[in-house]
Amino acid sequence: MAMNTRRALLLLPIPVFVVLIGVLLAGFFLGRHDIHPSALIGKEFPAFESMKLRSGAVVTNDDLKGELRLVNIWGSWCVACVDEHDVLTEIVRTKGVSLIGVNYKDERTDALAWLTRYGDPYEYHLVDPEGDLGVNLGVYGAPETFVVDATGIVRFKHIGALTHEIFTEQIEPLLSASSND
Amino acid sequence: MIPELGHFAAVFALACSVAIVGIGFIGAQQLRTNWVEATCSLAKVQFVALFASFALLVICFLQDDFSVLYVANNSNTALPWHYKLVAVLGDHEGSFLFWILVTAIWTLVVALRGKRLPIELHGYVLATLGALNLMFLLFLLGTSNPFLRLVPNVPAEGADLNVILQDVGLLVHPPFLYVGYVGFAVAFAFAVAALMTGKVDSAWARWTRPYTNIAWVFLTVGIALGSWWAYYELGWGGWWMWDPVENASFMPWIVGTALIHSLAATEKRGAFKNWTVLLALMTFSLSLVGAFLVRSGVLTSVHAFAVDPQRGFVLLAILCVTTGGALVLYALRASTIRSRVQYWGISRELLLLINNALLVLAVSTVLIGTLYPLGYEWFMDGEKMSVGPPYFNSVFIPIMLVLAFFLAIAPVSRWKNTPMKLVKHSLLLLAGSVVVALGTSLVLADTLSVSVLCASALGIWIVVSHVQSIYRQRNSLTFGYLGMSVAHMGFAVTIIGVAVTSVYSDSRDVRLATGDSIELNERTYEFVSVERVRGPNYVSDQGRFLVDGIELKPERRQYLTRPTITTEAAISPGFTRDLFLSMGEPLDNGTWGVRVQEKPLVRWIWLGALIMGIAGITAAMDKRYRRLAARDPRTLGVVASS
Repeated sequence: MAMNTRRALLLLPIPVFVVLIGVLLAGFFLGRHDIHPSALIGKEFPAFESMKLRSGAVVTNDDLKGELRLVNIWGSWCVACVDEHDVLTEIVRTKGVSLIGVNYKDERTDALAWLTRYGDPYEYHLVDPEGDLGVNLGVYGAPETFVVDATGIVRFKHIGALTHEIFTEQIEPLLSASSND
Repeated sequence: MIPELGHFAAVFALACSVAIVGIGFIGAQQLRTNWVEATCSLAKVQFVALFASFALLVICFLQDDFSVLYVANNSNTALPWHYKLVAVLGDHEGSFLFWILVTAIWTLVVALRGKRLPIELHGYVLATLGALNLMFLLFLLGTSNPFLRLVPNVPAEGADLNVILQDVGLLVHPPFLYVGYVGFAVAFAFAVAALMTGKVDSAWARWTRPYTNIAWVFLTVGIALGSWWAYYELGWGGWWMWDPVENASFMPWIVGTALIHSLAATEKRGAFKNWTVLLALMTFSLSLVGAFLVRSGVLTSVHAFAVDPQRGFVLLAILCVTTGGALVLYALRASTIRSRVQYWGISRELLLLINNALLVLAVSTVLIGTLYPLGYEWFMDGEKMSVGPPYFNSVFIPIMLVLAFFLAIAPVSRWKNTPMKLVKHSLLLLAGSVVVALGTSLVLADTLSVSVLCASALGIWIVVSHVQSIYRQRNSLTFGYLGMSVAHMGFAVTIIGVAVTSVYSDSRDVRLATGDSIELNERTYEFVSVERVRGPNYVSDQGRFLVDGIELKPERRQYLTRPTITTEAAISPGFTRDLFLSMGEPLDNGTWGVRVQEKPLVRWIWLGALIMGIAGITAAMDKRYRRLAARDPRTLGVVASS
């Protein structure tokens, strides 16, 4: 018995290694699966009361209403956000869409320094230092982007860095639909 | 002609590595001394060929030979010559040729220093190292040839080195890292050889330890240099971002640290033999995982090299063959290796076991955090995301504090069992350290912080208990013991630096016009002027600030060859604090976004790493490793008869 347990223990590193290779392979040959639809889509953006990053002014979910907006979750610690940043800047510049940032689990000074370094295409930023709003939004990590329509209903959610393709295919139709109303 | 010669030298080295594998393996199996000696000569030839190959690539850069694709992509005539040297390592192809050269250097060192190893062990170690370099060379020549010509359309000018890499710090940071990464290949080779021979004894551990120590020293210093580079070059005062590539270098370091401790138990007490062998396999495997993460483009990072799917696939294949093969060998052979040791209470064995458990736990958290986004991409339609400092800090820091606690008991601990009297005495020192830490915090800081109190109390406790034990042993002090103690104190310095900087750093972001000034912590920073300055391949706006009579000149550089703007922070360094000034975008009415930071004890982070590095070298110089210089006939006999 003791002998068998010992043998089994010596074999243990192999399955661990196989799992590791599996994950690396997975990352390597990016899978194409359907995104889990967010439970929030078609529902109202969760109620919140937060502060603006720069001015400290109070913002609530009612302030999001009035026009279709992109709400982008980001943090200065997030490397993928740097990649995404050029795409967001370009979208705001060319499409004139309103972009609101949610500065997620971040330090204020780091966030401001990050914006100084990479530029700030956002209309304003909410702060979510403890990730409370993130929990209500079902955030997995940064970056994530929500499309919220003029009545405050979540229309679309994208997990991970936004790309031009996703914007054109998924978000632009929502944008033109809202401007036709 | 020069690139072709370089290419040929690499092909020749490939042939050498094939011969090293074959002749070394047969020599070890049949215990033929002259075959193993022939392998040593081949290791010398391989080194010369690879040295020539790398030197020829350097010449291509210095001569601005843009007919070579790699040079054209990474250099430029306007680039100062020392940055051309940086550029050789600036991208995947050149840095991998360097990696291979380093493998050849380590092989050469084992060939020269190992003359007194048992034939069998020596042959297997060389054959394993040869096999690794064989795979690396096939990979280089097959997918990443740095000597590839760009004919007939030779560009008149090169694309220039990525501007963020234009820094002299990068002349030393990558070489240190690679020497460290690849150095663990020696421990890996010793582990494979041990599984082949079935012998893991105190002599085996003594042979493996200096190599492991030196590799660890290089990796320690390399990581510290990288952190320091990020601090001053990336321009916003961050010194560790849990970036995937930083993690790639940190993971082998953590397991390598565990290996150093486990080897101590194996050498002194014949304990944890199987585990030590497994750690040696894991350490180098994590170096390879790191190489895969950096060079395949699977993870988004500030450091990542250009993406090429074929490369990633081949690297993964190398990882599978190397680690997979070694683990199968381990499963088959490790059951013949037995440790029979007994220990009770808070023995040194137990503390080393706790050290290993905590470090493996730490590396698992880092590995999961690094790979989580990959698994996530697989399930989530190829999206990218980051798991950042919020995750890593919340899991990693508590583990390190627990580690620091047990580390402080190390100097009073004894093999087999530690008298409770000594442990109690040590805990008294802890109580004293808490009082000192609390007192210091009350005097120096406006607010108390639990994490700073924990880190500084543990840090003070570690330093005091180690100084005390060095003093007690002053008449019989060995380099090994001294090295261990100093390394632990270096660790204490680093954790104090990390905690104090993280908690007590202050900063202000303001909009300033020339003539204005700003105050931070009772220091006035006066914005004197902005000038336009021309560098060799950039123009920059250089600000001039005065603080405490010191002149600081932060810059914003616009490079002429690439559409990139970089911020060059101005730093006034100090033992107790750094003043860190960076200039952001020009705003309206001639004002500038300016960020002023004061970072207390930030230098301690790297100072601690430097102390650990010096300590590692000290420990590797211990007499008992040099005594191995005489091939012990008894060991030879034992091996031959087994």
